[in-house]
Amino acid sequence: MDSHNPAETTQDVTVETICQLERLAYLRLSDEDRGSFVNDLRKILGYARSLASLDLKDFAPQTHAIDQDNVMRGDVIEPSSSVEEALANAPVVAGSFLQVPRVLE
Amino acid sequence: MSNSLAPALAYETIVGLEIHVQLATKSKLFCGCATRYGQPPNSQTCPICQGLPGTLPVINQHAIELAMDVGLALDMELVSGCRWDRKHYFYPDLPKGYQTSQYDLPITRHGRLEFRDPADSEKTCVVRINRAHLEEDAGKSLHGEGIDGGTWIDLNRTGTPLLEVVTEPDLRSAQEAKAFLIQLRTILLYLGVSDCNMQEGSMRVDANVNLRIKNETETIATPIVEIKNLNSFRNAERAIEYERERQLKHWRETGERMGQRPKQTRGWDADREVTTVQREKEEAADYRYFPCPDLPPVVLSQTSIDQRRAQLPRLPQQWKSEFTRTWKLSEYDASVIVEQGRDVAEYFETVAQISQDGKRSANWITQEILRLLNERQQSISDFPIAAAKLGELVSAVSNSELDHARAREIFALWLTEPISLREAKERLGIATVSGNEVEELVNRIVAENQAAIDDYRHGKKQALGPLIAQAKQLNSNVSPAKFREALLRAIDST
Amino acid sequence: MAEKSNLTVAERISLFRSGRSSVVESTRETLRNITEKNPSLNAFIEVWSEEAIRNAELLDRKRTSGEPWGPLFGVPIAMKDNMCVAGRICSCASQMLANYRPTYGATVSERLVAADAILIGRTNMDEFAMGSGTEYSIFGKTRNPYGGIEVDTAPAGYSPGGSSGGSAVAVAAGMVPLALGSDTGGSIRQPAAFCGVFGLKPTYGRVSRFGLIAFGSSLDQIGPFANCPDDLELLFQVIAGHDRRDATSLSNTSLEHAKTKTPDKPLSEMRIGVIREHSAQELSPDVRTALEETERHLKSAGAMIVEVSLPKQEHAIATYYIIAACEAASNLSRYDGMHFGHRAQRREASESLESVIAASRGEGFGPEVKRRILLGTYALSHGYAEQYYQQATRMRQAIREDFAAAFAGVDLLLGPTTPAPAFAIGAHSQDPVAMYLTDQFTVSANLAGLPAMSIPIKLEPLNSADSTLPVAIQMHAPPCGESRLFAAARSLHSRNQMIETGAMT
Ligand SMILES: [Mg+2]
Ligand SMILES: [Zn+2]
Repeated sequence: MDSHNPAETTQDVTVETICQLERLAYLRLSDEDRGSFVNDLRKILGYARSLASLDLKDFAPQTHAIDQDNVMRGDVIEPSSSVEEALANAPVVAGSFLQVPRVLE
Repeated sequence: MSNSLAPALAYETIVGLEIHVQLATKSKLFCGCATRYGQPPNSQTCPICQGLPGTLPVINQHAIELAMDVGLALDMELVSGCRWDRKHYFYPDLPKGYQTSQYDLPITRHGRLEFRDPADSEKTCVVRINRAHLEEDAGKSLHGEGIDGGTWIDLNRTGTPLLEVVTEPDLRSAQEAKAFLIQLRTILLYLGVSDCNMQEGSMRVDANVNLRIKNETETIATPIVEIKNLNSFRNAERAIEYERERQLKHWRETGERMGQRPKQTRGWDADREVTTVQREKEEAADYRYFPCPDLPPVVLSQTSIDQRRAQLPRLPQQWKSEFTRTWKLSEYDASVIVEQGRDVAEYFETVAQISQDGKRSANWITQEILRLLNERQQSISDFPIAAAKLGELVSAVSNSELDHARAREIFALWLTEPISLREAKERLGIATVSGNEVEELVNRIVAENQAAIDDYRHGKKQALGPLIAQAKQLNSNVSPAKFREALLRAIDST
Repeated sequence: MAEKSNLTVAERISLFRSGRSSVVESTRETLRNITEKNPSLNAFIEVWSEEAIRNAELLDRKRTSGEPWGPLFGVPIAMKDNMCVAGRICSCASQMLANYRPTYGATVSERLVAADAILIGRTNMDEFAMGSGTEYSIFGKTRNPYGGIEVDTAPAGYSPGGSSGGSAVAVAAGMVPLALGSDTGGSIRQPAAFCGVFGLKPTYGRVSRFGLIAFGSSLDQIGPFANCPDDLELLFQVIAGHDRRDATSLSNTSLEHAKTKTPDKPLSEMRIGVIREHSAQELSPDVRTALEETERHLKSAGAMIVEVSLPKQEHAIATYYIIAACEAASNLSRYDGMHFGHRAQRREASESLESVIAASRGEGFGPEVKRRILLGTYALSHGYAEQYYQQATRMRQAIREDFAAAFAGVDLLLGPTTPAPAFAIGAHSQDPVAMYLTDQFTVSANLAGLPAMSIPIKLEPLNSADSTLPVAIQMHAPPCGESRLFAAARSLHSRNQMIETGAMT
């Protein structure tokens, strides 16, 4: 998802875009889904595109709903979960480990 | 430059380092789980560090304080409104699917570190520190353990606070990189911000290496290679050295330059002593960094910075100048002691204060104690002879109450017996010899050795040696120096 | 159909005090009521009958023991299925978490238990709270108790709104007097408006999010549903307060500070701003008359009505959908089927981890969730973050500044909750943007972190049948100005007692 022209954004969304997003988001879609998501994303981004062209330099990016800072805790140890509790919702367990399929390097 | 077959080639090795340091907090960065090493698998987690749905992080204030200490020690700017960002990637030991880290506003940045040039001990090198940011550690994957070659996951380490120190590419050799790392570790240990235990992964090093080759017309950069997870300074040095040679050879064969191939990640195979390719990605990873909405920014007020600065422990450089100024140590001796770490420096300082003899204290420590510690695989805090006792012993030698040989006997006894100096002397039959006793001994020796004394008077200075040995035989406790002094007085007065 | 219970919470508790009812009897009655109504409405996903009766028995014992009573003594409360209750499945109406059983409880559930409330069950919702109709749920759609079924226009009945539709319906249908929902872009207020109940989205940070399964972390806020302002406030007071487990929870100092800037006021001394940009939009005639009636009433109660402008409102929806999708895509990264949740069957023994994660997420998430993950991933990805995510965060600041400027001159803001009353189930299924636009008046309160309330005004008869649909208005207050909202709601409620008269037509 490299260079692109903002004016073409909505047209830019193609099945390839969706495939790239699938890889980034580790999300497997069916061919049928891909087609409908191309349309949905085009529509939504077309709607959201109004933002891209606005001059908003005077407004500092706001990532939180309220202004608070320095909310911290002391360095105090609290009890951990038991191993049993820690693995209670794990789909596959081997002894005291979570087990996952092999990793492709 | 070492390749004798090829024509001489001017090139520089360019090295930048990324060092992950585990901070010495009791609890994790965002939850109350302990950070102890070596616990049974998955016994040190909670819903928060397991990243279970609905849980939220809360920052451990002590991690902030320790990061501030590092920033202050390395002359860095402390960033007042530092933020937390999520770095997204999927890996099974990263339970949230993102690592909470700091991207464009790290807690501290733009510092420097000086160290002795390994090629010339008269010179110092300066490395610029780009940034040091806080982040959470991931868990541990044990590959191929399960049936079907599956991977086992232990999340105990997940969420442990790390400080990632990133240097500018200012290092010019593997040796410089190693010297830098030693100096950095010394500082971190003095600050007490980490135990820097590389075997346990409390300090992990990644090195970015490439070459800048100069020919007649231009300077050519070879593609940057990142060597991951170097787990000792020796391995770091050897891996960089290997990479220098490999890149040079590769360039000679292919002429490949930076930009002509994607950045490579390589690993160091310590058994085969080679680096091997781990990953080569066409696409740069897209981590989709964005500010963590669950964590408000951390604002460091000038007051809190000043407070931290006031509480900062003495740094290695300050100890060194203290040792050379107050205790008249050589630059070399001071460095040797300081590089051993804060405990040894403090030990030395106590010995010197009690004995009021810096040089002799330093000799005992560098010649006896460090050797023993090394032999016994012990740290100074476990060493059986406390600093105060050694101070007493050194003091006795300085005041000529004991000769060096007897002091060594006491020292050896103390390694096994926790007894006082007085008890040790008794045990070894060391008694203090009074002035009268020395006088008597002189009279006796003079009376029995007139011939030797005449020799001495006629200029045969070495004639005194056997007399001193004789006196020592008659009374093993007598100090040879004191006896010699009294003997000369007696000879002069007759 | 059973009668809707008209008892307020205070009246219920006084029945226990006077001994005219035991908590067990009352709880059994609640459970009977749910059993009877739920099949047609599908408000509840699960009812915790046994546990509820057990707790009722404990409370009955407490009645005679002389111990002090909590403020919600014996009151049954429904929980949206995205708030953890220790030991209970919490699914977010998703295949991904269909069997997920947290060992920890949300701060709100712990506060409710400490207040002697009875947690009665979990309610239906849009998957991961993404939706405005309670139709994207693995447990099926929830139906609005109002409006009935009209063969021509609403064959499946009317939408309860969403995403907290189950909770809104549980209260509207009189199954429970109180319920909790969560509101990221209107998910409490919009269903409250569609179902004719009171719904409050508190100031961001007043209610702990710990244990609320995150959708958009900087927008999410838990809030109450009730049939009257007194009950709403009672529940709000129980769940609000600082929580050290949530770093975005308001500290007591911040709260005090905000409250001195937003002091309580009687309605007669308030200046109320009508949001020009909202009333200029295309509104259904019902909503427009409800707004006019509200204005007239507030004036007659002594308040001063002025017009105010929030010029950046036209960008609120785009800003919201970008930010919410980015946060959602990030928050949903943890659902990989490796540590908990749905894991896809491997197609062959050698299938790689990457492939199993992608399959687990593909199977575990429904269409709307996938849509938002794709949108958020796109808007945060290299080369696009600047024009989408960055611009949205700047616009968010602009919107905040708009509100701050408006509140310099007025005490409350008045506008519609939704452009129109409830739509027919399925009306927007084919068009996500149309569905998103139903939130156009609610999202800015989330962007600015402000408290906002949906207040039911009247029941409007439908043309073709002898049924009705509720019509509501929305009020915004400055940060921590919830008490002003309660004051306005009480005044409007005393006028509109009709809301209590008969929902189940
Ligand atoms: Mg890092
Ligand atoms: Zn933990």
